[in-house]
Amino acid sequence: MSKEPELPRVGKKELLILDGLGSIEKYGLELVRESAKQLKRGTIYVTLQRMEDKGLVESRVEEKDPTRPGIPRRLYRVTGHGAMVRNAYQAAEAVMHGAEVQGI
Amino acid sequence: MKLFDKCKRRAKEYTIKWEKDSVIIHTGVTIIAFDCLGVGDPGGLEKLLQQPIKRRIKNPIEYSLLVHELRKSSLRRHPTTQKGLIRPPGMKMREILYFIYPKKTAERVFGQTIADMQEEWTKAMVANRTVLARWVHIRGGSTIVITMAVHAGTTLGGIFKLVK
Repeated sequence: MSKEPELPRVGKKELLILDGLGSIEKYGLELVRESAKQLKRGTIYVTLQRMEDKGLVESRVEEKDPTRPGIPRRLYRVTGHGAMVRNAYQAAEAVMHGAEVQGI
Repeated sequence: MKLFDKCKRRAKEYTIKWEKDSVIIHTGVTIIAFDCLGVGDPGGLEKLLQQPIKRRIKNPIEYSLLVHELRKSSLRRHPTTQKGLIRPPGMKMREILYFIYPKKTAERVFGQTIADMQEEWTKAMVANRTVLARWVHIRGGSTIVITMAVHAGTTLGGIFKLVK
C-alpha cells in the first residue's frame, strides 16, 4: 500500500518568500524591501538557507564585477518543487477563504 | 636571483587603474580588483593595502615589490576625491564568523548579510553620503547581532571553541 504524499510544512515567512520570488531571481535584500517590513534583514538568510535545505529555493553566486568592492551576493529563485508547494498552498488558501465567505 | 629578476620584471608590468570606486591592478598575469574604495582615512593606507593583495599573491617577493610600487605610486589618492583607501566594512567580522560557524552558515547567512551591508555602504560612499554610510554600517552590525541570536546554539558553541 503506497503512502499518500504529504504537503510539506511551510511557514508564513517561507510562503511570503515564495510569493515574493515569483518566477524571477532576486537578492535577499530585495525580498526584504518588497515585503513591507514583513521580512527582516536579520532572519531572511536563515529562512532562505532552511528553504534551500528543503529544496524550495535554489541560489547561485552573482557574476561579480571586478571593479566592485566587497563580497559577491547570491541570487535566489524558486525551484520546481517550491513552485508546486506555493501553488498548493495558494489553492488551499483560496478554498479556505471561499468556505469562510460562504459561512461553512 | 632568477626568481627576483622575474618578479622585478613583472613589477614593472604593473599598471594601476582607478575606476570610479575601486582600484584595478594589472600584474601582467592576473588582474587584481583592489577591495577598496576611495574614501576617508588616509592614515590607515599602509595597513589597508596589505590584506587583499597578500591573499592572492603567494610569492613574498612579488608581493613586497607590488606593495613598494603602490607606496611610491602617485595614485595613492583617489584622483577626484584625493582621499586615501579604505576597505568595505565587515571583512574582519567575516573572518571571525567563519571561525565560529560552519562554513555553509557563515557563507550563506552571515556572508550574505555582510554582502548586503557592503553593497549599500558602497552606494552611499559613491554618492558621497558619509552619514548614510555610517548608518548602514551600524545597521549592518546590529543585523549580524540579531542573526547571531537566531543562531544562539551554534553561536555559544563557536564562542566556546574560540575561548578553548
